[in-house]
Amino acid sequence: MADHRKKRLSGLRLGTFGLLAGLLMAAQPALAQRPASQANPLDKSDLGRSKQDPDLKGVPVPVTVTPLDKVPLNKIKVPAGFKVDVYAHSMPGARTMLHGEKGTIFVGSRTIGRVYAITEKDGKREAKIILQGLTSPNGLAMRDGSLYVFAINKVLRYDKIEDNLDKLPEPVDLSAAFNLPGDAQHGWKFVAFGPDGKLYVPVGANCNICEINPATHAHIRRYNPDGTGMEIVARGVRNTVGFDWHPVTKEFWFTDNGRDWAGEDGPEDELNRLPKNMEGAFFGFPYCHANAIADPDIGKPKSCEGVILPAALMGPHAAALGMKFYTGSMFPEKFKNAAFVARHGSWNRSKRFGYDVVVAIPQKNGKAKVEPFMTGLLDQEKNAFLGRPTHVMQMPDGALLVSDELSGVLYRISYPAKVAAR
Amino acid sequence: MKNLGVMLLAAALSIGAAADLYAQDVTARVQVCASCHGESGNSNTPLIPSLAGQPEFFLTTQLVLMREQVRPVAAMDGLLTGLDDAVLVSLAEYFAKMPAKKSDEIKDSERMARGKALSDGMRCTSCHGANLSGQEQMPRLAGQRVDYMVAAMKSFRDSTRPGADPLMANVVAGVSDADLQALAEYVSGK
Repeated sequence: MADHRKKRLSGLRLGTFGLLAGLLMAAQPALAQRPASQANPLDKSDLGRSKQDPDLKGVPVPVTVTPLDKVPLNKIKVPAGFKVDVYAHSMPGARTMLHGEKGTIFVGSRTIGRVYAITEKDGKREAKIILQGLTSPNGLAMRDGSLYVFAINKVLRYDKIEDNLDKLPEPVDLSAAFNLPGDAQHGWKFVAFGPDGKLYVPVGANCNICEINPATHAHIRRYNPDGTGMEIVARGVRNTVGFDWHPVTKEFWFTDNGRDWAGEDGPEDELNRLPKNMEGAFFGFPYCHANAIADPDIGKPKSCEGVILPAALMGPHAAALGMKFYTGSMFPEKFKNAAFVARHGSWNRSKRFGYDVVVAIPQKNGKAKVEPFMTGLLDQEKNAFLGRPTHVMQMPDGALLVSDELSGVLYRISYPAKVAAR
Repeated sequence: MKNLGVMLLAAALSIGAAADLYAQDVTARVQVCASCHGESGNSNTPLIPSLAGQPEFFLTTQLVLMREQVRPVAAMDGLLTGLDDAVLVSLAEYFAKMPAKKSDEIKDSERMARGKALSDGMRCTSCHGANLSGQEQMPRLAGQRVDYMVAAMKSFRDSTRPGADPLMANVVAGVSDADLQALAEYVSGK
């Protein structure tokens, strides 16, 4: 474990510009009115222009167990015929889920730095910590018995992991091979193997809004599993924390989080589709957002020229994160090949938004229609929330698991009506 | 009847003893903390932060992150090993309730004035609260040791603090050592 601590690269390397900005701030501190959450001197966020409450801030994630009787299961609403249960609990900070080849469910996290494993033995389900002390190990993928763990600036591969859950093997350190930037901001990962056998790895923008270096940031890459053969598959992507491949067209779809501090109502988050044979296409960041909104703080002429616009808008500051196309046979026909998307919920908005799971149904024109699916965790009247859905995963039986980072639980959504009708 | 009475008495005693042991346990642990962090959690030791009056959520979070080496702190090495969440929460509860005192470090009024202007511009109160007394995961700055805060801000700025949230790194990016000193003196004096 000690090895995780040894090599930490700097998050922000500021050259002359940073120093200059520092001097300016010292000389005229009153002018340096930046939102506290985005004070990176490279960042172009303009608090005054946004007209938003400058005191908006992120939501803390509890690091201790939420007792089962405090989990807001009875508040959750799903469409008629569906049912919700708590599938697994007592995993503070639970986010990304991965179904292992031998049935283990792995769960990644951010702040708390843990990876959990859920196993079943003699009909008893148990969640335990298998890794800790990592920096945001949110990226998990599996191939040929090996678990790939992507933390910020750390890529580890645990071979034959499901045979060794009680005593993990020493990992193979692939950090140097993948050579990813170590930025803390938008540096946590969602990763997955594509139908081409490549490992897809995003690199988020190292700011809220700024001129990123397009060679190193704000794009999605793919690699051979050993970290060689890097290619950029999608450019101008601010920060995706969820993607999947359409079960029929095999096209690559991904969520992308819109920028903050440009108003309460947008630019909205995106669900994007990378059209076939358009690898390397540009999705707009930092110049063009959502349905062709030119960035107000960068102000590049012809901002949206050559930009692929989203398949669907996912709501203002909604934090559309994990997504998965449904291929099971448990749910009604309507959901076949539709994408479930977890919306973590807003922080950069006075009136809270999201905190739910929606379903995006692809249409013939390449766009998608978004409908609510799992709701009830947002109390609009009190402007309060009870959960933060982060990721979705389909189980072998066709049920859908939803992780809630706030309570540290996985919910299981099933459709017993269909079973009953048989 | 008599036997039942004896049993009840024995049960009462053992519950009492268990509660007492638990109290001793927390008291003993608190003393370990106090040997560096000061009596009642107000530190007079250079570079060691005060814990008194910190938000409980903040203390619990940091204790868990230190225990699991997400945020490794050399001076804390081994002190939290094997302690379960309940113990860490009880320590956090204890220090959160202690009244915070002002650090006894000498502060310069000119630097403090500059620190105020800097703090206003950087919007410290936005997260740390109007009185800089902290809230939820954000620590109390008011009364905190100046030398500790300067060291902490430098480690955020220079990315030498593992496991840190990007938020503070962004806030202090590009800020000079002299300005960090001014900021720390001002917020400590609040």
